[in-house]
Amino acid sequence: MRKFDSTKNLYNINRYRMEPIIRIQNLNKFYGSKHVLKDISIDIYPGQVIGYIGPNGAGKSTTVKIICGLLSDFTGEVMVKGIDIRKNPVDVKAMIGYVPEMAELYDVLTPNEFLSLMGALYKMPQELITERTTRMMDAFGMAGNMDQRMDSFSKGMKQKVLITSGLMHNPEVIILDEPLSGLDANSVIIVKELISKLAQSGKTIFYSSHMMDVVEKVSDRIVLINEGKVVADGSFEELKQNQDKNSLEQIFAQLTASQSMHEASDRLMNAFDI
Amino acid sequence: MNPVDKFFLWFFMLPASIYEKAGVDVLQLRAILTAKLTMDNRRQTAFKRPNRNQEKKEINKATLGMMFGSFFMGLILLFSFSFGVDLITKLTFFTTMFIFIMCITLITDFTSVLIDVRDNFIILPKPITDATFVASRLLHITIRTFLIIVPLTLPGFIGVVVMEGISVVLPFMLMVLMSSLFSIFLINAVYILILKITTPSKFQTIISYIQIGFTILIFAGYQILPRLRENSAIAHTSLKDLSYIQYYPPYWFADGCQALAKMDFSGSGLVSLILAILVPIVSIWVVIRFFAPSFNRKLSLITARTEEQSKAAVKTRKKTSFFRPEKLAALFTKTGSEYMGFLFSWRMMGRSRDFKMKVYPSFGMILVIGIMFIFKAPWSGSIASGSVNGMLIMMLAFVYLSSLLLTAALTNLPYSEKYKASWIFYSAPVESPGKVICGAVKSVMVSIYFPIALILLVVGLVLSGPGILPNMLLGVINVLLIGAVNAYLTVRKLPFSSILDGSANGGTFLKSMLLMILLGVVGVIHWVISGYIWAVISLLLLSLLLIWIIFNEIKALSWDKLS
Repeated sequence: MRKFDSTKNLYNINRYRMEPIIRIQNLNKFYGSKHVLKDISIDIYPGQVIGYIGPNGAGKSTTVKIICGLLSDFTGEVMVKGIDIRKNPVDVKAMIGYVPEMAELYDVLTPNEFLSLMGALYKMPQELITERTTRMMDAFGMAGNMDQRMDSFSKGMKQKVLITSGLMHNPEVIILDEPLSGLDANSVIIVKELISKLAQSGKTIFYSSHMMDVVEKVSDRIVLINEGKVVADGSFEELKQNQDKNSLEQIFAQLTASQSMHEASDRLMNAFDI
Repeated sequence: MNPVDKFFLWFFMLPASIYEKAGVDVLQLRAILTAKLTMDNRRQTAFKRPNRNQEKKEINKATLGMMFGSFFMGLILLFSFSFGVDLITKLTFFTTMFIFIMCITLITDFTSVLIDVRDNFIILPKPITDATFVASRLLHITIRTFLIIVPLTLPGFIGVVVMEGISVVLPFMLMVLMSSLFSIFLINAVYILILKITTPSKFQTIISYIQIGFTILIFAGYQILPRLRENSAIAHTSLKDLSYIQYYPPYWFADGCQALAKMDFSGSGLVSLILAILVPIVSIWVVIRFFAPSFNRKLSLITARTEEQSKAAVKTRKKTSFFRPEKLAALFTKTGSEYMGFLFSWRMMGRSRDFKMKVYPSFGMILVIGIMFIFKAPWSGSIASGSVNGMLIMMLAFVYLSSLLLTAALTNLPYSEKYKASWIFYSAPVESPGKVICGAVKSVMVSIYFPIALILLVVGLVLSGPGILPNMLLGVINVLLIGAVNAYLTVRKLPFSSILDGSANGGTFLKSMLLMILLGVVGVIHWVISGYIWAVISLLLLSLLLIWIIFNEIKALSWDKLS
């Protein structure tokens, strides 16, 4: 509990004294005639860990893609550190470390080859790439796998490579899309602690996920979106007070579900009656 | 990277300072190209389908394999030099075939290698300018194209130098380059067309069918082209005599090349030369200016797959109105696990691209063998003269030949890329897996073989009258019998439950030899008794009885009999 109080204060201090590092204003996005993001406005301050949650299809991935500069056909304004992402996507991308969901990587390459490519794209010198990735992969317990092709890797191993590739250039903003998927319990602890430490060192973390218990623990501010709209925004403590619920899971259900969970589980049970 | 890739990378990075002036980051460009070429080298190519032994081994020399494949096809191109009396006819045939092969190879390459949707997640979020990204794609395509062109034209190049001497070297190279550009234009046009008439999600499937067609054509090419040479009419034509030939693009390349080689610009030579250079350059400009933007837009749709998928799912459910597999399953199987096995296999066969890619090429090959058979076999004379006996032998030969199809389908029945999903059979209380297998085998017979048998029966009926039917029916039933024996001997796995690997090879070879002998014996017996209707009918009944017995044996297979 103590942790949340302190972060809440930090959040309030940030709000009044600092320039937002990510500023999203009146963001709208259409896929064809489908309106997927409806007037989203969020200011994110340096050192914050934002838990970005919402049901499937709420628009989480679309938001992430826009901040990463992958989609440019939106209306509204997205600024990262004062730079308009549409006007200068390359400079924005250089500040961001992105760990995509679904282990998307060129799996016929080895971690060494893949990370060299990633480093080169961030314009890092080869010696630095080798030095840093060796250290990071060693910390993940994967030093022995650096020269094996990734097509034989488990989902968790691929995820470790992806996390390394997203952090190796020491970015100011880190965007994580389900970064814990496939990781074993011990690695989950490592990554969760890593997230807190990165935040303490002043990095801004945008954490998009389904796993409520993790979001509840790692984030100091939670943004909940549903059907393309922000339906809640605040620290976990604030959300608890506003919604009068005890866990993020319950808050989530209350704000996003169209029917009550009890009713659904009852109907499932009733299916056996036939 | 292999030395060939290294050479081409070095060669195309020579104008690095020019790239830099165009706003390209050379270090990033080199990193991307190095990674892409390394990946190409480890990928299965259009020419080399994964076979049992390759699956597990790490692929290291895919690029060299592809170059070898191109060289092999380059040898086919040599046949074009035996057509016609003059150089221009030979060259026109050569460019026609060259453009054709280029198009097909690049079409398969473009989807699997050059358009990698993972780029969207891996390269695009990095601080990379559009110029660098576009340059990396263009250079990758160029290097890839060169890796195909060089070995593909090498035999023809040697051939033309031997025929015409050194003077033809440069014009020939120019012609190859220009027709390659023209091919790239054609491919883009085909892509745009496919994307226009269909959804991006079906795109991959269509490309797969083109690939299957290609395999068959190459096979047919090797069978038919050498024989065409013997046809003196083709050997002695000259395309120059045809007035409309001037509208045929490959002719421009040939005519232009000849004009350059002989330094003779009289007649149509000069016009052809200008067209041969101008048209490819203009068409490539059209590609870059008009095709590329809409192409990229469409491509991004391929990534937005989820929405497409939900639409497709609705469609599949609605479609099954007339030919309900449920009805067929009820007709051919008993209820329970056999019925389930039939339906499951029916749907998997119809929908898995993996299975089709392995089985469909054999359809075409058998058709080619069949056609060769009609024209080359000793009895082709008696068929031409309309002899009833000749016709019967031919039709029976077709029927027994078609058994190879059934074999191809049955051999692939246990395999799937999604083999892990077969846990359902192991976790569910399935008492006798034999029933599932039996249902699956029946489903292969009904879905793959029945349509072919029906076509053969109708063709026989039309060509030869109802008198042929008892013999044809016996043939079809015998093929089913052999299929059942085959299934009993070789299908010892649940349908779609395993991944292809080398381990299963040993025993199955002996078994398939046995099957070929069985096929021969049954065929000969059939031929001997084919004149006696009572014998034909008794044998037919006997075969049906045997099929019934073998199906019961398959159904009785217990878990410990499975491999």
